[in-house]
Formats: sequence, structure tokens, C-alpha cells
Amino acid sequence: VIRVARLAAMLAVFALLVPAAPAWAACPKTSLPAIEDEVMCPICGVPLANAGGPQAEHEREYIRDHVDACQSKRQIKDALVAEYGEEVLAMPGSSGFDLAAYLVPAGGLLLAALALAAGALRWRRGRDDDDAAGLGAGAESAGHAGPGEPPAGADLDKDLQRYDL
Amino acid sequence: MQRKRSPYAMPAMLAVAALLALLAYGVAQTRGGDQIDRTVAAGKREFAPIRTVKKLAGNETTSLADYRGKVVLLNFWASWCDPCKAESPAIERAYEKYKDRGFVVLGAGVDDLTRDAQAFARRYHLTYPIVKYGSLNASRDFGTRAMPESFVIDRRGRIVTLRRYQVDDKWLNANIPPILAEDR
Repeated sequence: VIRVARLAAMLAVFALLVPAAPAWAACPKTSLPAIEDEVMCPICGVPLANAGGPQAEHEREYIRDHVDACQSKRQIKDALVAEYGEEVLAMPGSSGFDLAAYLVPAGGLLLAALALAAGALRWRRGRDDDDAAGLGAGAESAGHAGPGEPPAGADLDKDLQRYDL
Repeated sequence: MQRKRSPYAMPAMLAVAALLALLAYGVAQTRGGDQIDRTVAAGKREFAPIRTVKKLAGNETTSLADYRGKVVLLNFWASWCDPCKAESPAIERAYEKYKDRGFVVLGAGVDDLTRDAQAFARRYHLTYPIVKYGSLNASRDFGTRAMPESFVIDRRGRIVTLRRYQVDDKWLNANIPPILAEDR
């Protein structure tokens, strides 16, 4: 009985795996429109999606052949790089000098954020110092007007009178 | 009175210096075509850049270093370029004429699918070795701007003369024999 149960379990697992295989190997894995936005027509100097003429058509035909051969987008882009060189990719590569295209803007943003944070911190510290100085000065001057100076609050009264409607 | 330096001045200067260094590196990577033209015009010779490239047939690779000891006509072409079609028979003729004296043509297909380049080679009965050369690399190495362009390289691997347009029998027969006659 145990043997039969084991066999049944194995058959069940096998039955589950068999329908999964065609789904995994589904073709096509990508399409021409999905790729032509991300690659260049090197001869035309524009993205393939915007390119016309016989050479652009040759490149599209080449991509279609690879799509029909059930290749993935990554595989087709690699094949295009092998045919035309790195310049066929619409985006800079992710190694060597091309990496600078991603690192420089990211570094710039980081620096800008740091500069903003530092500036905000400085401004806030300056404001706190001013407030503290203002409070100190107010406390010192209250009721301690020097000889010949108007008493504390006199300026404020004057200003209020000026704007009194 | 001494001015107080901001604590951010040094990092900012370093960032600017890093950006300038990056820019200089990028510019240095692109070899100006003008530089080769100026050197050749001055009657001097500079070594041709060595880059490993894939042969049109099969998966083998090669480079100009493999042709040291021979006079090489490095000819950049593309199957879609009309002047390239026009010059191909003359180049094949020169190859047949001088190959026994240590001359070789290295055809460099640019911006072409392998199958298009192969069809071109078959159509024009090209028997000399052909490689695939990306346009960006061709521009970086030799300052190419448009197809066809040809460079004559001596037995030591130095560029002797060049033509940034199609070549013909007259130009080939005037430029190749004197370089072949030079001491090995």
C-alpha cells in the first residue's frame, strides 16, 4: 500500500511539472516593438523605432528572426552588440567609462542634497543665534535705558502710533 | 585680515577636480582623426592602434599585430555604402597583384550585419581577410567619419598614408609599391 501511495505521489508531482514546462518555454519571449525602443540603428544614428530605410529594415528583420527563434530580449540585445558593437544600445553600458553616465548624475544629486542639508542646518543655526542674541539684548535693555536713550518699548509705541488708523 | 574658509570648499573643489578628470579621460579615449592626418601630412609615422576584432567568417579573432612584417591596407567599408562598392574591385586587384610581396588587405566591415557583410564579400569576390569593426571603435582608433576610409600600414605597424574616401587603381599603385620596397 505504501509503495502504491509513493508511486501515486510521484505521478502527481510529475503531472504538476509537465504542464509547467510549456509555460516556461513559451514563445515568443519578446517582440520587435519591445526591443526597437532600446536599440539604435547605428547607420542612421537614431533609435531603431524611429529609423527608416533598408538598413533599419535589415536590423528589424534580424531581430524578428531571433524573436522567432525564441530568444529573450537580453539574448537578442547581446547578439546585436556582437553584430554592431556597444553603440547599438540606446542606453550607455553598465561597465567601464560608460558607468560614469549613471554615477555622475547620482553623485551630483547626492552632493546637491548634502549641500542643501548643510545650508539648511547653517541657516537654522544662524537664526537660533540671532534669536538668542535678540532675547539677550531685549532682556538687557528692558528698564535699563542708557542716559539720553528713549525707554525700552518707546520705539514700538512710536511705530504703533504711526500706523494708528 | 584672514578670511575664514568654508568647510565645504575642499569637498567642492575635489568634486570639480573629479569631474574634470573624468572629462579628460573621456576625451583622451577618443583618438582624434585629425591627429593621424596631421602626423601623416607631416611625413611622420605613428603606430596604428591594435584592437582585437572578430573575423567575419567563424568565431576567430585577429588584430593588426598578427600582420606585423606585412604591408597592410586597412580598408573600412560597409555593404550599404556606394563608394565602397565602387572601390572593392580595385582593392581586390591590388591584393592579387601584391600579395606575394608581403601585402595584405584587411577589410573592416563597419555597421553591418554579418550576413550582409558576407553577401557583400561574395558579390564582389573579395578573397582577402575581413573583420568586423564597430563604428565607435573605428572612430576612436582611426578617427573614421564616413565610409570608405583606407590606411596603409608599414611592416612595423605604423600608418604611412591614408585616404578618407574611396581608393582607385591609381592611388593603390602609387602608394603600395614604395612601402613594399622599404627594408623589412
